[in-house]
Amino acid sequence: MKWRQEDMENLFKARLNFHYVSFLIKRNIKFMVLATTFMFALYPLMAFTQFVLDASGTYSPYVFLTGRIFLTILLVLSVFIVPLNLFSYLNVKRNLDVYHALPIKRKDLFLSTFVSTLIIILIPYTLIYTFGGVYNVLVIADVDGLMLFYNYIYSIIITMAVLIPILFAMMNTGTAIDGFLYSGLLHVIPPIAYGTYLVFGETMLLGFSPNPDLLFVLFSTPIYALFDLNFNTTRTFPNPWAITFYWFVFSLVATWVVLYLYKIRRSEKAENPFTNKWFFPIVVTTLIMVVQVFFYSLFSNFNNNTLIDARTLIFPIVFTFVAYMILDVIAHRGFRHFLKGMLAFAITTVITLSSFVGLTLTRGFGYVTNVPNANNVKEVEVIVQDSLGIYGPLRQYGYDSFTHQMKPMVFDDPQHIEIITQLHQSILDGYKEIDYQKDRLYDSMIGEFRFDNTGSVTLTYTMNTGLTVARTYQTNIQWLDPLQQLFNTPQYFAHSNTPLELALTDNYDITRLEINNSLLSFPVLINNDDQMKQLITHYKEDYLAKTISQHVNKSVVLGFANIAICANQNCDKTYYPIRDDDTKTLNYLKQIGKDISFSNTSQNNFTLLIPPTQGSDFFKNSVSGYMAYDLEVDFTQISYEEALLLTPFIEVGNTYSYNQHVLLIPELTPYPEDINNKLIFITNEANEIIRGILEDKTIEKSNYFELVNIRYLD
Amino acid sequence: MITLHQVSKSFDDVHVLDQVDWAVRKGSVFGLVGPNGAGKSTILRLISGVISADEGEILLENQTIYDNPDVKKRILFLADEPFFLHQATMDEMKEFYRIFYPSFSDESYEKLCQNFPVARNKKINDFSKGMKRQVGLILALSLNPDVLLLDESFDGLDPVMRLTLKRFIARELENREMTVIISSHNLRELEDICDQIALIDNKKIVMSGEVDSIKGEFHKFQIGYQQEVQPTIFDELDVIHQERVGNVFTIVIKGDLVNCKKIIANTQPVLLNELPLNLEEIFVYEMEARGYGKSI
Repeated sequence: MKWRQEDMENLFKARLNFHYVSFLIKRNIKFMVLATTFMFALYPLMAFTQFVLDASGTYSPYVFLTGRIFLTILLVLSVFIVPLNLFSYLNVKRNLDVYHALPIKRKDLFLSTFVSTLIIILIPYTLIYTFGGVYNVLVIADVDGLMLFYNYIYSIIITMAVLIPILFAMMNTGTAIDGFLYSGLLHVIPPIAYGTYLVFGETMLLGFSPNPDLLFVLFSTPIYALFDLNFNTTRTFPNPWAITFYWFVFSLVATWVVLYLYKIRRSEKAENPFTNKWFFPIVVTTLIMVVQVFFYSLFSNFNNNTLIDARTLIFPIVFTFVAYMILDVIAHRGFRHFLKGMLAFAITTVITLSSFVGLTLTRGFGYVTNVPNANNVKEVEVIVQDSLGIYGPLRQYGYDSFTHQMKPMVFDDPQHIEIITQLHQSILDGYKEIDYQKDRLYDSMIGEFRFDNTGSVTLTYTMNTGLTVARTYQTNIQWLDPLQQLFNTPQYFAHSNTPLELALTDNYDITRLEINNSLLSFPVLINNDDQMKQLITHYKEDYLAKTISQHVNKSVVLGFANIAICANQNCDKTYYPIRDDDTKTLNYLKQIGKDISFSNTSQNNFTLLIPPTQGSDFFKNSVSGYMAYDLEVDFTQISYEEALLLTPFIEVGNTYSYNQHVLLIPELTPYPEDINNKLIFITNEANEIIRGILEDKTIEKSNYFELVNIRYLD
Repeated sequence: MITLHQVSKSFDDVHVLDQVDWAVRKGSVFGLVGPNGAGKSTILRLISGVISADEGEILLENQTIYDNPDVKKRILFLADEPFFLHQATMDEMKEFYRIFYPSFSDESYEKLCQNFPVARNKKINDFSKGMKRQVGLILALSLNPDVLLLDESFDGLDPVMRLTLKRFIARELENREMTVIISSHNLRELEDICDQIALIDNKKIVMSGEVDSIKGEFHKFQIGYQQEVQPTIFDELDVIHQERVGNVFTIVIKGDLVNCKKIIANTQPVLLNELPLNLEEIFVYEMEARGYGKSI
């Protein structure tokens, strides 16, 4: 093997033949002119045309963006076309004989052709990108020219990475058509594999938690990375330079591998479909396995009864069989290998299916049932969300700017870690009752699982070894009970009240703080920045001082602090309940003369909305969803005095909580910007009082949305 | 001197050359003949450094050829169908070769173009087969290679073009010492131009030497007898071909002429004529003797 090692080392010494590079560039000038013209038409010219046609005579940034997308698409097309042209001699024996008889080392010939390929691809792109970019910066204000320049750097480096799989395919194939076909397959297999991983995990593995999304594709599919970095729309990794560097290193290593393959590529194999007998079996078997698992998982997902049965296998097997045989017939240029192909397909299918069934029956080789031993865990990160806001933040941060800011709880105390592993086990025990499966059985367990009765929890363990174990569960809310033991930790406060925590610790502005009584009347504004911050500090201290019992058995809500916290023009406005055991908060309010006040008399009336009796499911989807347009609800008008009777039973809640509470809607003050926060929820314990109030009232019916929206949006 | 030492080459399961030893003297014009698939092109591709040997070594003046640009600069391989870049003109091909062959002579190129007029600015793809070969040879000879490898370069050309190209090479050989190896099925062509010949068969070079010397080794006789005789009468001779019409035999034998004649005389023939024998016949009879094409 010594000679091989020396041979490989020598590859690093490849040198460019500048005369040959220059010759190839000259020979491809026509292509470059054509590519440049095409790119020019789709980028700056398209933007200019829009400007000329625009009645207001303004340039559209979106047309520039669209042009740049087209430019990138053309760049990718060039990456497929140019190497197939410049390296075309590899696919004709006669031509290959001449090239390899030339007095130039093979590695030098490869390197010179490779560099020429890159130059021919990048010259048109660079010219038009520069021209279009400068034009864009000149005619549209607020365009970040530096960012455009960075994007260019990302592009040219990742272009090299896009080129490599194409050359890799060409080194293993002997004809242009096979080179092209397998270049495409090499580019699509990683994203298909990732899709399969997601579908399989989501369908078959309870607790499956892919994190972070699309990272695998970003680091396995250069075309995706090219678009991701250039357009910043789906960017899944915070540092574009790190990604670019990764692809740069990949390109260097992969170029070296391709160079080695070039050197050992057997000339006599040109014009045959494959120059490497292992290439077709490896690539196609991988593709078929990946697609089969994808479809097995997908169709198992559709199957409500059992995990796998014959019906779920029909489509995946037939589809992949046809795909395999088409590739086999192309590879062997006819049907003479058909029987062997069928046999190979049968073996592939048996192996894939056995692995799939084995993986499923063993619950992902223990993936589903494994709970890390607390002793082996260094720390655990927990994110909880539930509709009632009992275990997680009341606000659903998923729809506002605080999505990415919601602070996960990180516990490194052994006792806390033990509690989390207990929680993990509690969830698995709960699922064990329903055979560890979620989505399929989720539907059949609908009576038990509801929006208002479920939560989701993500646990990410960092083990002492440095490895991480992540799981995400949709849970019955009772299974989250072990979390109560952590209620009075600072982590829980930060997690449940992320905006407040951010206001105290980070550079966020408290832009508005208004104190209301529990009927949301008689608001009192606090304008002083220091007072606002002090109040939140006291609120946090009260939270942390409460016992677990106090957290679980919540005391009476005296009022709400409506706090708006902003950063980068994004604001969060939440009503935080102030309870009668928030002593420091209440004392501070008294101290600064902003006490929560109730008046004995008021002109305010309230609408008392009574939940329907036909079943708890009624509100589950309807109030929070689009069906609410047709939702008939019972309501009546009550006076301020009558509302005062209900104040001991007011509780925080949101739209998912209606089936448990009656709803009180204050009438007078319009709050068009934040309807859901102006709904007051009354617990079931007030039923007797409500019945008394309703005795002499007329119950009316109305459409829910009309009742709520028109009241505030008028 | 080109040397092949214990060279073996296989393509997948097909064993093409097996421990071939062969030497080509500097300045010689070697004809390489052999049946289809015998490995003629393989030998030329090995010598030109297009492919590497599985075993053994191929040297030009004691230097390895494969992936050795310094040596390959001195060798030019002209395949049966010459290669031209897509849509290239002759002048563009000249530029292509100039990049790799510092020995390329503009003067030779201009002179050759004058002597063998071709449309230099026309796309070569539009040329006839013969014209393409002519272009290939002009370019090859302009490189002034020390070793010129021609793979069936004359086959399929009309007689005038064949003659033109042969003159082309002959004139170059007059001017400087160049080694030429020509593979061909057409032995009549080789006989005219080659001073040495090698026969390749059954994965080996089975015969190699001066054309005259080889021709001197084979003799063709017409022999007649008064009475019927058995073919075993020639058992003492190395007969590689025998035909019989009545009592008249036509035999091709291998060996010393005087000795052969003496043995034949001892059989008391009434008719003994020595017939002319050309290289092609020698090749055919030798190959027949080795079992090639005999069954047909």
